[in-house]
Amino acid sequence: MKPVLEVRELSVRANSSGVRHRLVDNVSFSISAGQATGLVGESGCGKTITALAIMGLLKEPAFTVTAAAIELNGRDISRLGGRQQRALLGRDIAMVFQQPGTALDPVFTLGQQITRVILRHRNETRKQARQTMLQALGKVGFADAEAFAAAYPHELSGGMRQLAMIAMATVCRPAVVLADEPTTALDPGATALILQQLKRLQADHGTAVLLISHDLAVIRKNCRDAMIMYCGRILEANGAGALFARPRHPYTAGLLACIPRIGPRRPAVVDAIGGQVPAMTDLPSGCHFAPRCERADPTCSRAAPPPEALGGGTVACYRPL
Amino acid sequence: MTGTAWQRLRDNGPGIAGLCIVLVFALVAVCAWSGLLGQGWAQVTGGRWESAGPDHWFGTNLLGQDILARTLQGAANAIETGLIVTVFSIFLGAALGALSGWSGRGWPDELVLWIAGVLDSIPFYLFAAAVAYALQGHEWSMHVAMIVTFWTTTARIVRGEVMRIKSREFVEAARAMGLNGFTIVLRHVLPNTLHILVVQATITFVAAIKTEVILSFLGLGVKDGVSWGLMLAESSQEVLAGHFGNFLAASISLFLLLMGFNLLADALQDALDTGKVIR
Repeated sequence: MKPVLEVRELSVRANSSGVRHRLVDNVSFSISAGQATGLVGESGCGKTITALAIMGLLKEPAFTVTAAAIELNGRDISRLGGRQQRALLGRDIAMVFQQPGTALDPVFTLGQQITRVILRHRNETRKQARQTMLQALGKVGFADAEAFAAAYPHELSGGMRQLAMIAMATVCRPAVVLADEPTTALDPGATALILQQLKRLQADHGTAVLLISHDLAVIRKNCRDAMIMYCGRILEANGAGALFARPRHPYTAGLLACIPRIGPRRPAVVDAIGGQVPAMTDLPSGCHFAPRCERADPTCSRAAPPPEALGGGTVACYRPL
Repeated sequence: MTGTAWQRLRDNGPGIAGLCIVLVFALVAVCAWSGLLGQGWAQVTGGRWESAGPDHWFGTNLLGQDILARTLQGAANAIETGLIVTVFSIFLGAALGALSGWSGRGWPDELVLWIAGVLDSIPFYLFAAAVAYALQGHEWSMHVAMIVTFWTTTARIVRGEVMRIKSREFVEAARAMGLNGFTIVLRHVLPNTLHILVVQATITFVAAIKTEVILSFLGLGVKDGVSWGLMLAESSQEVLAGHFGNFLAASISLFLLLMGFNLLADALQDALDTGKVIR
């Protein structure tokens, strides 16, 4: 099956503070229609930057984005710009933000904001747009869509705001939704609701979802494929089941060992990965994880390990598990 | 939010008093513009310096003109000047402030700040006199002088606010929905500065009316009409002779209108400060 979104050799450099350092380094992946792909990583590893780069929202001079190709439905969108790029955003590819409280404009009602997106991208009259907006709100689970359309963001709970955000992002039926930590700011109940909506999108409209999260459990339960990101590189990618059952990269294994397991005969100790995430301005040469890796040997620090096929997925490691 | 803002305003006693005063003056202005009130301000309808009576409620001036009519017409002129100056200088301030704040550290920002800095460094009454001279005493010279100098404060405040709003996530989200920069400024950034613009408008309005009176008093303002400033200028001789009609009518009207507006502005500031509700 042809992927809906294919990212090839995407790199992002930040041009601030004199040093041009890489925030995203040679990332390639693809996601297919009707399924969710997870992108996991610690805070600051480049997950959000990857999503913003795909959307074309990172601009010179602050950032330099290079990519062999970013293909959306077979069309390279990495070299578009200006008007053509903006025509895609919100219509063919949309983003759901981490903080629904701040991603919605405080001075307009939800209805006004969603209607604006419809009027921007679809050839509809105000009346039709209003109907489309109410349908969109109804679809994400607002029983009384009229009332929610008239509500201001501050009048809603975080979960409801995120549902509204999803309604806004998906009202034009985009082929791809980039969900940037959509549940991180939410309580477990709201989290379940949001994830359910993302699943419904995949099932009903064949939307491809890139689910960015640092929550391994969320990824495991909701994604078919998963990718592990560290310091701007994808270290391991595989089917979510295989990746969690049999991690190949030492970092993935370390992450999984960090999950506290509660049980009668287990010690209440969490295996933390030793050391600290290096600063993005001062990355170690070769494999960025090498200084913290128990399996590292001198070859690891020489050159970045290329991704190699292993166990149904790919691993960027000289000495995989 | 407009509902709750109105409720907060309604619970503010002084604010409501201010609103009533402003509404009364607005009514007077509308009546004067539509020819219902204060039409005889230029006609000689009585003797010189008549005291208040049934024919002339506020008395007459040196030439025998009715002071009440002149006060009412003066109110209409003051409000007209206030409205024109406010609309133009707020519009200019919002547009240039937004341009400046949105462009960040680029040259438009530098340029706007430089122009604002230059205008702010000129003493205002000197500037008004220069504009009046340059425009050869044209009746709009007073308005031009005020608009050109009053926008800078609004622009500076809007600039700061736009810089703050620019980094908020909903602006990024608007970009992610495919809106261009101009649309984002117009639809998302400026509406978020509305509470500032409303309060700035009330402040500018008060300043414009005050300045109109002062400029007219100095002979730099209203020429072929009537103004509270002109009435005060007349009264500077009359008060010594014991005739207080012009002086009391003009200064009390000015005081009432400005106080009413200030009370309203204060109440509006409290009612519209969305920060208290949202964050």
